[in-house]
Amino acid sequence: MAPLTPYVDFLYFALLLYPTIPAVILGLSRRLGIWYVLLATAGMIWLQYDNPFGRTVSGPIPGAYPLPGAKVYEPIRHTLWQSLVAFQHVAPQLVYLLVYTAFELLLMLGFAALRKRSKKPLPYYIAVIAAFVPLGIVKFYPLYMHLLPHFLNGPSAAKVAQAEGLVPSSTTPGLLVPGLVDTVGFVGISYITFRAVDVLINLQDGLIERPGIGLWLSFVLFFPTISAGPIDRIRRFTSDWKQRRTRAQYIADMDAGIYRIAQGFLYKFVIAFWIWQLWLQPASRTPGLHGMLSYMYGYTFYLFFDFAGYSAFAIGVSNFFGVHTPENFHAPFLARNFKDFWNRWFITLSWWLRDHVYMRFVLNATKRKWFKNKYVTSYIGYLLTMGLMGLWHGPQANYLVYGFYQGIMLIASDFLARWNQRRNLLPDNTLTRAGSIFLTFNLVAFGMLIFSGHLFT
Amino acid sequence: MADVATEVLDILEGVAQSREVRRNMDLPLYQSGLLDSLATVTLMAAFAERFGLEISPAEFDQERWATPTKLIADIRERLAV
Repeated sequence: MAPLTPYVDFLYFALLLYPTIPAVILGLSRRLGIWYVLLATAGMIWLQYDNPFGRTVSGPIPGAYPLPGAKVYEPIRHTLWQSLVAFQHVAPQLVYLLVYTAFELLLMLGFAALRKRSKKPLPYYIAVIAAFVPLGIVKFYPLYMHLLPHFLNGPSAAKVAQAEGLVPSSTTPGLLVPGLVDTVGFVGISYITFRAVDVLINLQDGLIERPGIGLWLSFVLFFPTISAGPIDRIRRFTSDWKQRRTRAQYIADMDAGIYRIAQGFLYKFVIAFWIWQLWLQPASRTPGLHGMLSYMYGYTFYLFFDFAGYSAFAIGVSNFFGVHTPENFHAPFLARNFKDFWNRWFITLSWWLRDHVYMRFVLNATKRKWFKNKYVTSYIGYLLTMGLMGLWHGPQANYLVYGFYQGIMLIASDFLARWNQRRNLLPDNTLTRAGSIFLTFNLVAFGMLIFSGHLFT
Repeated sequence: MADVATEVLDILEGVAQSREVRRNMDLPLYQSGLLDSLATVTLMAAFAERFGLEISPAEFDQERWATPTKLIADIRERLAV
């Protein structure tokens, strides 16, 4: 009973029609409100994470593991381990999602109440860190799950657990690890955590009133974007509901939505699929430098078309539910430098980090005069921001190196640009522009090779 | 109130390192590349020091500071509140 994957499983598209048809009727008659978004989100989340249609394929509950070791602790160990195993078979993703949502909601309500009384930074820092704790538990799971069975049951049980697919093997990096999200998390936790934290930051800065529970739930859990973004912002999301759209505006939204959904099919199911089949798969089996380079470019294009295709679906479907989900990509391979690249690639993530990490850090550092030079401040900000970006993908080596690489590239491209400006070395013409686009693309592609984990296997 | 405009322009000229911001009040500051996020934060820190204005990076919106005229109008509005 694997959960449905949005915009991948055919069943998901079929089920999507059910909440969409009433949305269209409500939209055309100017009755589409946040209440309906909440209703549709509840229904789609249940279908997606619980997937009642997939029940027939569920496997048998695994039997007891051999539990060597001291007899005294045996019952405790046994209960701990068995509950961990059994939890996998009660739509665990849905359970985790509900527990997570309740936690983040209570955190927001508690913090908003404290914030009314004072603007002190301590409760704010505690709230933001607490909001990230569930994500940390999920992301660091592969690290401590290698150790946990050893502690609980000794090395032999760890091997059994690995064989059962409960514990990811240490050689497979990243999100594709089977069983990882099934065991302690749910698909989309990374993305919706950023939305929950966005609310906390806006509350702290006094930019919003405490959002109503319905608004908060529909913003954080908004089903078209729950699994992989784009990462919307509370103030932008709220602005969609300030006034009802006219019939003509809703028709324009549908028009754009249909276009984006068609684009999603083209990017994800045609272009990305064929790149995967005809380019990436053969390249991954080709040895040597030639295979590596082929994989590098193939993966870069694959990742773009797959993710931009997914984003197009998410944006297109959002339109039908009255939400103008922000764009995620803007011709990233035409970027002239790395700063330009991050204004074109995974825009909602990079702007979230720009506003909430980089600018906050640099502003604090400037006001408190932590560093003498504003460029040093900025460069430390780049490393911090991109380091967090890497870590956000997971604590695996490929993501951490990717984050560091992006930080260094941002610094290098800023440094070179300022150097060139001072000395007036290169003129700004068609040739130098084309050259910088070409160079940036190749360095970006190398970054994607790091990200893919292909270098680390 | 004219003083605010002059002071904002002084700060802007220093941060953007361009005299053009004084001559052309409708110069697109971000599109022309004169301002970026680092320059924006430097401006925020300068406005905090000079006017005691606390501007949050979370409300950063290029549109509000798109030209010298818009920037001055925004700072005036913030000081008036």
